[in-house]
Amino acid sequence: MKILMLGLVIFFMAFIVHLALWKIRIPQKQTMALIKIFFVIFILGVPYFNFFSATVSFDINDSLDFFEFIHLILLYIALMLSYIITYSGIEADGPTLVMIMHIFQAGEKGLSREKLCKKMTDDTLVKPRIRDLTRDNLAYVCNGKYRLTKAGFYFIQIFIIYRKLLNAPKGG
Amino acid sequence: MFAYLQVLNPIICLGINAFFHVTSFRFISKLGMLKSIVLGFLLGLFSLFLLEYLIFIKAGIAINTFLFNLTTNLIIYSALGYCYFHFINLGETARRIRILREIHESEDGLTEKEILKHYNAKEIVEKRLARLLDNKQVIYKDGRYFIGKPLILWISKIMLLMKILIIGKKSEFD
Repeated sequence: MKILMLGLVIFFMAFIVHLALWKIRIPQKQTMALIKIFFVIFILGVPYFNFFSATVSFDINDSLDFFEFIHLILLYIALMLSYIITYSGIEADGPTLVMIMHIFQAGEKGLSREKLCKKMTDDTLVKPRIRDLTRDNLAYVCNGKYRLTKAGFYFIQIFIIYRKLLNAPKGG
Repeated sequence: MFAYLQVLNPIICLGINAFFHVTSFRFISKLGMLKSIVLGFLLGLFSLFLLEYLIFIKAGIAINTFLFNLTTNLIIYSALGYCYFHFINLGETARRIRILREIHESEDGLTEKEILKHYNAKEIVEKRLARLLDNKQVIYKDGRYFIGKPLILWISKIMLLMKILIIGKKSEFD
């Protein structure tokens, strides 16, 4: 029970801190900022609550043992990754969700293909994502051409290898 | 040994999930990506329950400890399974991943114009419309598009609500 409660409480605290900071100013590199917030709150939260629960029960043996600590890390990382991966859908406008909302807003009249395509352009769908790659240091510009950074190269290898494993074509 | 198994259980089951997803997608052509992901997830979930029950019987732990451990591992496995689903989805649909691939496959980089020649809004819209029509989330009638099954619409509305609550705007372009 300790692991579950501690993991959920610290995760919830990190979420609240993230919300509070976002109200002050949304950082440019949002994913990196989220990782830092979750990491720092975990580093501060575990010893605090571990000590707090030990003193409240007056039993030092109530603190986490090695396996409980690893279990807690696993729980926290799983929750953190789930949130961060969901956040990427909040940060950027997903084309499918945008298309669905346009069709929904057209109501009973429906939406023509022409009107739909007018709303979905390279300026809204592709160019911002190209800019994201340079902002996140996955690509850089040299002589007017985009090239992969080392981080971008290794990052894309993961997907290329996994798509090969699935024998699946290029996505997008 | 059971302490190790207790901690590693969700990771082992994630591995089982991924294994069955990849093999079922590769070798059962009728399944398709989404169904093979669901199949992998369910087989991993079944393995999780099985391993937890094994630990409960062999380690002789108390029932309430078993239930809390099961709940914790269920949450970890579900969260990791969700992340795995999104990892596969990124490879399948993410624009940044596709753009990185196009740049990777070029000999000496690509200009913005060249990137748009390889991958652009037209392809993005066509692929997604095809998917939505195939899953009947959208229907095409009398030359116009309408909402069909509402699942993606509900997800869109939830995402919109989260955007307003967390970043204070409906769109990245606001």
